[in-house]
Amino acid sequence: MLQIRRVSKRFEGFAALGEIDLAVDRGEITGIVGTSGCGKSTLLRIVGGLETPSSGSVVLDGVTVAGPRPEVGLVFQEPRLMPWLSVRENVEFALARHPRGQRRPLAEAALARVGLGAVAEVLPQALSGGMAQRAAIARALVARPQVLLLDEPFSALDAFTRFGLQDHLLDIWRTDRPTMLFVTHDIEEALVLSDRVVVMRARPGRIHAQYRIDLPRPRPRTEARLQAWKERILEDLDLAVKTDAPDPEFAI
Amino acid sequence: MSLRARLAASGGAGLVLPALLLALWGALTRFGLVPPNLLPAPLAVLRAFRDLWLSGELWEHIEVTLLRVLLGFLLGTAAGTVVGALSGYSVPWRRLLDPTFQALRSIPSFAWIPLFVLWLGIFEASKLTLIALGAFFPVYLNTMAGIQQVDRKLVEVARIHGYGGVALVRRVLLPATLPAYITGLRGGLGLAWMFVVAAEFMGASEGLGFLLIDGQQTGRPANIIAAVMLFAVFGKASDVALAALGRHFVSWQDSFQSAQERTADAADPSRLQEV
Ligand SMILES: Nc1ncnc2c1ncn2[C@@H]1O[C@H](COP(=O)(O)OP(=O)(O)OP(=O)(O)O)[C@@H](O)[C@H]1O
Ligand SMILES: [Mg+2]
Repeated sequence: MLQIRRVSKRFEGFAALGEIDLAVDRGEITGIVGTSGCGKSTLLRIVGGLETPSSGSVVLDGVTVAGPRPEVGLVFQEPRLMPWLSVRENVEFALARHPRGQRRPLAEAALARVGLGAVAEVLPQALSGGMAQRAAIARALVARPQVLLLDEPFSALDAFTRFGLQDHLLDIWRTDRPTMLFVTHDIEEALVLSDRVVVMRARPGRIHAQYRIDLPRPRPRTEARLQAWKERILEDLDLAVKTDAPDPEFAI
Repeated sequence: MSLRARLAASGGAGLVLPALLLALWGALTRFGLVPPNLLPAPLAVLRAFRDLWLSGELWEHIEVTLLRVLLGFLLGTAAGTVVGALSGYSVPWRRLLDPTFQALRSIPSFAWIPLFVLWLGIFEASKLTLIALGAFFPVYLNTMAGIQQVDRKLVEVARIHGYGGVALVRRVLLPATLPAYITGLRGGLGLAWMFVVAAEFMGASEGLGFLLIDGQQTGRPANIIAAVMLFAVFGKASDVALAALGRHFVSWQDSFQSAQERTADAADPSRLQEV
């Protein structure tokens, strides 16, 4: 059980997060959507223990989070690979607590699953943006953390790779049942993956609405109910197409 | 491939200018345009080399100077590394140390010579101290800057994976600082070569710097030129060695320079064997 209790965050007087209250069950997948700058990354960084909240607290299985914890994994918004380590060594970087002999095979398997088996031995500078992000995902998944925080993990990827990795994430979830908190700017992605979608709004960052998505997985993207939720979330974000205004194309 | 193209591609382009200068030098002395007591002919310099070599003097001078440079450089590097690491890693240490060292840095280093001689005598101690002082500042400054400039984002990656303390230093701070550190080492070595000359000007009885002074005082310009050439050769050779060692450790570095060199290498595979 992950509890975010009245968490707020100020940066030199600027209120990045208002007061966030969120309780996530073990093994639950929570998607977070919201416009740029509404504090999504900040929230994940606080849960990950990289940032201390200005007030409130994050409690994981009864223990207040005071710093990074081994059972919490985080995929950053950028790949952040160590440029001096090969792709495989970057993945092994997450396995410091594993016996030496296990690291290499585990890392290679994790890379194979994100389709990077062939470039395991090259340096990150030789990777494309999407490949680097997949390597970062492999690094976060390889240690099989109980809590997975993902900050727009797929946004640098093309649609085909993205769908593949979403399936991969669901596979991981089916076997390990990690609690997942993932930020995305793709509402459809949030709806297809999540048990719950949280909509955030800015100034200060706060939770505006929450939706429980109680559809069985796998969910087809074209599902009508998903489309209905999507419309509502777009409205929450003031992004809905105003149907009463004349379509600009015919408005001459 | 034509000779010119091969020269250009293999880095031989750098030899063109020295060859021209040598030809000019030969011509000036050959036709008596410059008197030999000011500029001896290339052959006279070669003869000076031969005489110094046959008398066994040459190797003695080289050995003494190399040893001074090496010891002074190691001393300065050790001090620069420790002080630079402290000031780079910890803000309180930086506040304590950096202002003083920045102030010391603004003193022209040769101004220390009289004091060093007064305190340490004119023998090895004062010479090594001066050379160490020269090597110290580039190492200190680059080590400190290198640590300060380590990408905070990579440090966060390490923290989220449970690294801290020694493991964080070893796995992230050290490798991330290495390129700047090697730049510092190269700068330090260059200054060590510069300062060894000054050190050997202050009452040495052997060493390449002594050879310079002695050549001037005994009216043997060929010896002066021979010593200058040896400084050039050893200075360059030691820098190339250090740079190669550096490249070995930071081959991952994705800088403009390395990209340029990669393209040059790709253009001519024979270059790879030479380096
Ligand atoms: N270290 C910091 N110092 C000062 N302000 C910060 C800092 N980190 C974030 N902020 C501010 O906090 C707000 C929220 O930032 P955050 O990165 O959490 O947004 P986000 O929702 O992740 O945005 P995006 O979708 O663009 O990634 C922004 O206005 C940002 O400028
Ligand atoms: Mg963000």
